[in-house]
Amino acid sequence: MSDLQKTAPGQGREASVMRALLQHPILGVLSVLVVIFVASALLSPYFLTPYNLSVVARGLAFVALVTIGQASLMILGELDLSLGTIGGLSGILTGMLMVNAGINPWLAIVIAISFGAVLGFINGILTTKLRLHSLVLTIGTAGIYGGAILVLTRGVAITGIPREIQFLGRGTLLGVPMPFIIMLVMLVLAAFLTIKTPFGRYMYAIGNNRDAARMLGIPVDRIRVLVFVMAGALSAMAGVLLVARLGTAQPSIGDAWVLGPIAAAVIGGVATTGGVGMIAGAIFGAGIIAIIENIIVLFGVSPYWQGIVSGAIVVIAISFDAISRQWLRKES
Amino acid sequence: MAYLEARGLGRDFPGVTALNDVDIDVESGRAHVLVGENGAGKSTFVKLVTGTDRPSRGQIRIDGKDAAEHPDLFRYIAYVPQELSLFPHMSVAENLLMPFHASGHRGLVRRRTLEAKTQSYLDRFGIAAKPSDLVRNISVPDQQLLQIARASTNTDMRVLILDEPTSALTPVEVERVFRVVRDFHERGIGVVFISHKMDEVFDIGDDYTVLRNGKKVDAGQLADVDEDRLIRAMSGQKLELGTMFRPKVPRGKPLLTVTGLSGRKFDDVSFTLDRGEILGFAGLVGSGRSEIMQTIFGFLKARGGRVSLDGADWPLGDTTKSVAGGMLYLSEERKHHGIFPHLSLRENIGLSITDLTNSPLGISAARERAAVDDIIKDYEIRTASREKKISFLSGGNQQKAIIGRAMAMTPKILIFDEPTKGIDVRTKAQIYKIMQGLAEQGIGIILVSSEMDELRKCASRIITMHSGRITGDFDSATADSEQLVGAIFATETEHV
Amino acid sequence: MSKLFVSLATVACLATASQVAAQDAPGTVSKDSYRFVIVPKVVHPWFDKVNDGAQMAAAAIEAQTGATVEINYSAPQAADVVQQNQIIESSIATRPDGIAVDLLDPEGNRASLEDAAYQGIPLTLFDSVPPEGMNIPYIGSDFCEQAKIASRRLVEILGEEGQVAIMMGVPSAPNHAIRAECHREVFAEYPNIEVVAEGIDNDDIQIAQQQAAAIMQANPELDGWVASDAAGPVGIGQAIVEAGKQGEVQLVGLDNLNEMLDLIRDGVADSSSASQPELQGYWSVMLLWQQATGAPVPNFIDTGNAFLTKDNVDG
Repeated sequence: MSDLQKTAPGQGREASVMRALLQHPILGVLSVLVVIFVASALLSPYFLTPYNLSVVARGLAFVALVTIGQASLMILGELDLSLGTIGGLSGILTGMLMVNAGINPWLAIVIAISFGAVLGFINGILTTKLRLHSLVLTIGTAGIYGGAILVLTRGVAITGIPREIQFLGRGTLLGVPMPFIIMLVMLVLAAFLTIKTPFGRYMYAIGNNRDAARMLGIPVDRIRVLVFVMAGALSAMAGVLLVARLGTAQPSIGDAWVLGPIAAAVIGGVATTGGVGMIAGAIFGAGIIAIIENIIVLFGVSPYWQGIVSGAIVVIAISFDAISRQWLRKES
Repeated sequence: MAYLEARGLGRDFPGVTALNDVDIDVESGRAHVLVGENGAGKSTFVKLVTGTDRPSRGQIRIDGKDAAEHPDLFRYIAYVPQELSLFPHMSVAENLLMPFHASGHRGLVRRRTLEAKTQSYLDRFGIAAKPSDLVRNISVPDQQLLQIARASTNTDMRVLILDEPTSALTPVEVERVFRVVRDFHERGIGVVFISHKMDEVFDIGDDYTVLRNGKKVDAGQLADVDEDRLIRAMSGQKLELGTMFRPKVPRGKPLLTVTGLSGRKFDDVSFTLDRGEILGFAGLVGSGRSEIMQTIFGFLKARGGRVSLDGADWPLGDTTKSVAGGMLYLSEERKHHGIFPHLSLRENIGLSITDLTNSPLGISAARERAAVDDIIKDYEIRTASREKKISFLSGGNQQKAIIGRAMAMTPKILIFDEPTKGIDVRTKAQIYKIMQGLAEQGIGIILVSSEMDELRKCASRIITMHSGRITGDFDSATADSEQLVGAIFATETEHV
Repeated sequence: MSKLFVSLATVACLATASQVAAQDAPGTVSKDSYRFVIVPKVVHPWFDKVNDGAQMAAAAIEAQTGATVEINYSAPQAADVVQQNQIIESSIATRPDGIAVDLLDPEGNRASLEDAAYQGIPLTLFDSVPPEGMNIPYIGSDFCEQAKIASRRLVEILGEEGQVAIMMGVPSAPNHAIRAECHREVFAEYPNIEVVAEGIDNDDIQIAQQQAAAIMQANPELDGWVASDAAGPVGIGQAIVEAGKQGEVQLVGLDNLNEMLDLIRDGVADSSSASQPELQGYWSVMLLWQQATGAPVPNFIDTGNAFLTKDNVDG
């Protein structure tokens, strides 16, 4: 039997590195992203302009922050439908603290992000203690948090956000929009957490097999609650940055952050059933969606066709990924 | 002429030849026993002859015709997997008769018709359940029999492949399965029977084939051979079947004391585990042994009672504290409690050695690879690569990975729950040796097993259980078999 | 990545600079082709009529000048200010000759509008007002007056007495809220008119129909309806027909969706007070084109309201 062990590495290092690379779960979505990026650049003269790239990058940044949190939860086998309203409610809270209460805007931001973490904590603690599926629970909490937005604002946006924090949403650093930079920092941190730390390994273990994780002595519930907290804080951060971007705290902030991040994560190879996929893949998925939304406008696609066109591009892209994956499996 | 013939069958996977040049004939109305160690190529063979995978070389002939040219011939071959693959939240009748078109139902599915038809199968297979019962509410042996019954609803079936159908069954229930198999013989159906249990092999089998490392190493009629020969053929070496694995070092001081513990499916259980002891737990499936162990470990909630370790109160209900305190539990349910199916072998093992591999810069990939490779080597885990998904490994290799992972955590108490379920003879001996070595280092070991032979070979002491209560405590060196069996059945043999 | 941004940013700055330099006498700059972008609040039939008007203007300019005029109609899939900004900004990247927007929220849209202004792209707003401090020409009608025309008409046909209900539209949409408030003001002037119920239809015909049906169940003595958005009266009309209360419950509608016109033709609704989306679209394009030629343009154009009855609905 020892001869069986030896045959695999014996095939040549380069071939096996190549195969590992080809089979890397993230490669499919990355190549789809590159293909769509290159195709957009070739097909539209406007796509590669610095202004347009910064528009895409900034638009992507907000939803990507929420996607980092949602993808982390999905790796655990959880789903949080209230992340959008957590972002919205935290954004409203920053606005009220800065404008109505006159608190130092930086302090207001810290409070709002902590508040998002608390809302995530509530989701986490209820999910684990009541042994509910998070999907079911967060349908409820999404309603509560969203309702709180309407109660606080009566549907009216809060205006007069101080100029000094607006650069967080509007400013650029070396030409790159600030929110995009902040998102990249969060992405790197989340990727490190999930790939390189025991905590991250435990996340995958829990998503694969929660009972087996408990049998190994992994503090399952504590990790689940912490990831809910993390996702809440990231969503709040997205909400706060969007307030800085808009210069107003809109009651509609977060409406687009419910299904978008889930779709991005799934396109990026993160399974809703847990234990599979990578955060970076989810962000590439969000990038694909952001570019599609952009080129649809650049091409002047009729709004009545936009749903069909963007849906078709997504289906073609993921079929391409799935087919190439099957082909690779057959080859090996 | 044999009904199912394999000629020069081979299958290659990257880096491994799983099956090479294998000829097997399965005759109608006879039982063909297929034996071999874990990873010998039995599963690959099954996948090829059921049409779920294609051979790299060779030919499969069904009823004299080449199956590659007539793939619809595979419908004559029915297969019952070792793992339960039923729909737990659906009724017995639905489980039995799905897919409905194969069991002769067209159009709308009518419950009354399904259930009427189901009853005759339940009677024939001796399944103690109503057609309307949900599958999750019937006993494990009944579920096992239901799987076999389901295969037999395929009216085209001419060959039935049973992959370790008895691994979760007690002797009485095994006899029920055998009655069914003999009934198939009378109806001219050929049966392929895969098992690691030698007594069963000789009880039910007519012909046999031994696989080792993907090759056929022996074949013939069972009437002409003995157990020794089969085991030698499987392992390629002579094994001492009579070897004892009881710890040779005298027991130490009491380690774990359980007093009046009650919980799900068991009541008022008290016992003591000493250092350096292997304590066996015997009983029927469902007698509450696993539940006791999972409660001590903190996986299930206790209803009452106390547990102490080294004289100090042991916190119940928290597996994290249990593991941190040095208690480990290796579950009988590998699939549900042991492996992380989407993760690689490296990641599965790596989970338990993060203390070793972690650094301020995160987990060191190099250190992890080295540590995992050591475990793969030490525990002789057979795999093409450490990066292979664990769910693609054979059951025995998964089990060795789980044990290797547990050992890396330097436990004080180890609870093995049916550690050799579905595992070949030589790997069994390896596991026994590992347990013996650990006990001799002063670790306390609890061994839950349904195989009396295993308990007598390994345990210093055997506690018997019946219906959630302890019925006896025996020194395994002196206890006689009848006493033990009497304690397991609690003398109420008539109702079993 | 940042290097790419920087080098490309330099190119873009040069491009904008050269364009700003081309200044001639007012209204004399001419081009062979124009492309204008229309960004409404959301995909909605009312905005289709805006688009119709914009196309009419494009045809008119083509006929008069011989230049080709292209209209890109780009609508957010949901009434979400972030999505709308994304569309405005992506449109800016295509460097059109002008962008006309119906702002979802003046403050929330400010940054995107500033981007366009900074890049020298002419802007016109329709059906909405510019953010405070920004000087952008805008086109619209008086929402309050539009609502008051409807509620006064209802009071008139009820003989100044009876029970009425108001459908409020989307409560957080400023124009809907203004209309609802102005309905209330009118009804408050008449002591024998009692507002017995208010419903929310979120600019959705089906929700309007359900709400109206429920309110008529709860208030069997109800005499009349007004609404605050275009979808509301259509749903109310359907509910009246289904309840068999045609003629018994009066409806004065709002706007001029085709279903609304049918309700007037069938006699289910008495009349409708309509803003004029075609005019708003037409003049949006005209204002953009005039800005592109360098002509001075007025700050505000009032497109007024039309009062539709059985007599003029087909004329």
